[in-house]
Parts: sequence; C-alpha cells; structure tokens
Amino acid sequence: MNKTTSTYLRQLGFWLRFQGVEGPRVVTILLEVRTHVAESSEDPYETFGEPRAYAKAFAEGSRRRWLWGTALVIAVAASIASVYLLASEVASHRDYRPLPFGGHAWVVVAVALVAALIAWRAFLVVAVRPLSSLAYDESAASSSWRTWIVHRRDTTVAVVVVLIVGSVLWGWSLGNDFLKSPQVRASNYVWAIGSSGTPTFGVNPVSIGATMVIYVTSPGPKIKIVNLSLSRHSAGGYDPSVNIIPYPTLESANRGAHNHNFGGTDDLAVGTTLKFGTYYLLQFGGEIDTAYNAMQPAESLIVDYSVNDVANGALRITLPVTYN
Amino acid sequence: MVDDGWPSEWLRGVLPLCVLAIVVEGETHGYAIAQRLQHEGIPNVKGGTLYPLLNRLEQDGLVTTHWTEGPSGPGRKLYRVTPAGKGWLAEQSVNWLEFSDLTNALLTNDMKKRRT
Repeated sequence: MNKTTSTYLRQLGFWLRFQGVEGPRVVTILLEVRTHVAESSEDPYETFGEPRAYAKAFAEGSRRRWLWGTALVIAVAASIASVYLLASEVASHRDYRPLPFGGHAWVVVAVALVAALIAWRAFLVVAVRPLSSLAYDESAASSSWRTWIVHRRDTTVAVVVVLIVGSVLWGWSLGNDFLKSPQVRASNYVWAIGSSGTPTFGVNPVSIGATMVIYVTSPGPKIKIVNLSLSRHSAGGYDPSVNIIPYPTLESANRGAHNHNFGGTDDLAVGTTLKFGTYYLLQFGGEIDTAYNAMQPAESLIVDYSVNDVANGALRITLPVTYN
Repeated sequence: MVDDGWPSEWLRGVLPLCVLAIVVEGETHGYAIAQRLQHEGIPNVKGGTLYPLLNRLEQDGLVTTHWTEGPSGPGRKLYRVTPAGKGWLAEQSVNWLEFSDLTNALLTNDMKKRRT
C-alpha cells in the first residue's frame, strides 16, 4: 500500500468517525477502498473523491443514532448541571453562602451542555480512532468493536476502573472545595505593640498597633472587608486607622510587614475586595480601655468580611501584644 | 454518449438496477462490478458512487455480503443478491423498460419531426 492510499484511509477513517459512523462499518468502508485501490491501481482521491465528501455518503444511516446520542449527552450534561445547582442550593442554605456566579446558574448549565457535546464529539474522533488501523486486518471487518474490546478485556477493565476511581476522587475533592466557602485567613506572622496612655478615673487607655498578613483561602465569590475592630472597643472617640497593601506572594507580604513603617491614617481597608492569590499586609492602629493596674489583656483583631456582598464570616486574629 | 460518460442525473435512477443486474448473475465484488459496467458502456461509475450504492442495497436487504481472501493482497467483499433483491430487480426492470419505451417513443417522434 502506497503513501497516498495510506493517507487517504487515515483521513477517511477520521471523517467517518466524525460523521458518527459505527466502528465495524468504518472498517468495512476502509477495506472496500483499500481493496478497490489495490486491484485497480487507481488514485483513491480521484476514484472516491475527497475523504470528507465520501464519508458523508455513509452518514445518512448514522443520523438517527447521532440524534439519540446527542439527546443522551444533553441529558447527562443536564443532570450534572442540575446536581451542581442542587449542591449550590445546599451550600447556600447550610452556611449562608450566596449562589455561585452571582446567581447566573444558566451560564453553568449552558457551559456544561456545550462542554459535554464537544467532549463527546472529541471522544468519537480521538478515542475510537484506532479502529481505522483495523482496516489492515481483514478478519477484523466481520467482528464488532465489542469483540475488539473483549480481546483486550484486561486493558478495558483497567481503564474503566481508573476512570471510575479517578472520577469519584476528583468529584469528591471538587465537591468538598465547592461546598467550602472561601475564607479569610491570617499568616503566622503577626506583630503587635501596646502603649499605655494616661489613666483617668480608673481607666487606662492603651493604644494598640498591629501588623499582619491576610489572604483568601480559595477562589470563588467576591470577598470584601466589611469592618475591622479590636475585641475591646474604646469608650473614647479614638477611630482606628488602617492600611492595606497588596503583595503577589506571601514571602513578599511578610517582608513588607517587617520593613514597612506604620503610617495608618487612611481608613482604606474597609470596603477593600480581597482577591485570591494576593496577600495583603494589614496595618491596624486602635485603642482599648483597660482597668487601672489591670493585667496586660489578651487582645484580638476581628476582621468581618462579606461574600458576594452578604455578611458571611469573621476572622479573629489573636494579637501577641507587647506592652510598654 | 458524451466524452466523459453518461450524465450523472441519468445514472442516478438506473444505476441500482444495472448493479443489481450484474450481481444477480453471480456472486461478485466491487471492482469487478465497476469493470463490468465499463465493459457494458457505462464507464464513469467511480468507487465514490458505486460503494455507497452497494452499501444502500445491502442496508435495504437486496444484497448480502461476506468477506473472502483476495487472490493476492487484501480481502474482497463479495455481494450476493437476496430473494428480495431478485424480486425488486424483476419488478423495477419492467417499470424501467416501460418508462424507457415511453421516452424512446417521445424522443423518436421529436427527431422525426425535426427531420421532416
């Protein structure tokens, strides 16, 4: 068999699969072409026409199967999308998480349908493509692809098992990640200092300055800082001042925390949207009131945040305050 | 006959009958059918037309097929007419001849008129 025939058969096999023609029939058609060309010494492109056009001549009988297959794929994709939406609802009710993608669930359904159709089409072309190689073995023409699979039972079973186990594990981890709302976390590095003011009527005001790095744990809905406060509010009129500076890595943010002088007079942090993959140096200055001669109190900074503009969680960061 | 064979519109109607008429003579394969058609004066039936047609005949149950070893090289797909195929051929051949007579008469009259 010369190179032209070999190329023709390969192209024809591809287009027959693309048209949805079944495996055994593909083999038969390829064999017919091969036999005819071998006996007549004709150019396959001249005798049979372009592979794509020739493949279309056999597509008619496959149209019904194609429609059924499409219906099946749409049904499966719709089921997957429904499960996704159901999981969203559960997550929403369980921990008040907003619905994904701002409620545009139809986008998810549409993407799932398109992806499933493309995947199926790709499967027809790519996964079953080796059938065309059977055209070189005449005996295979009368056997179906099922026989072909049975002959490779061990491989088939292994592939199916790997697919099932892989899907379950992947689905499990995906499901867990999905049901988990993104949360704000603080890195290990937290620095804080407390300075006592002048005691008045048995109350000792203490200024607290704190520096830390915060970040969002996973991608997903929009996370926004709603409020920042110390665990003990000042009775006085001292407004907290905050700086927030984004860094691309945790290391650079930690370095920034070491090097950056506190200059917090702008209340910039409240209302800031925190992006996944960015690390934020947070500098906080506030005041607490302690009883006169009280022990040095444990203090925390509370970061209230919203998910998709719905109040969702609070991060409590214990401050290792050094008092002076 | 025109230089490059008969118009494909003419062939489309009668080719299934011609192919079946060859197969009914005895079990045969695709390339032999193409050669026989050429020998009978229908030269422009290419593989791209013949094999899809044979495929349709098979799907309609008018022929059956089986594979056999070729004399040298690849195997051959042999076509054999079924009883249904024989019945269909007999019925359609009568119809075609009747149709052919009518068109012949019409065209013959037309030619005579033009000559006179």
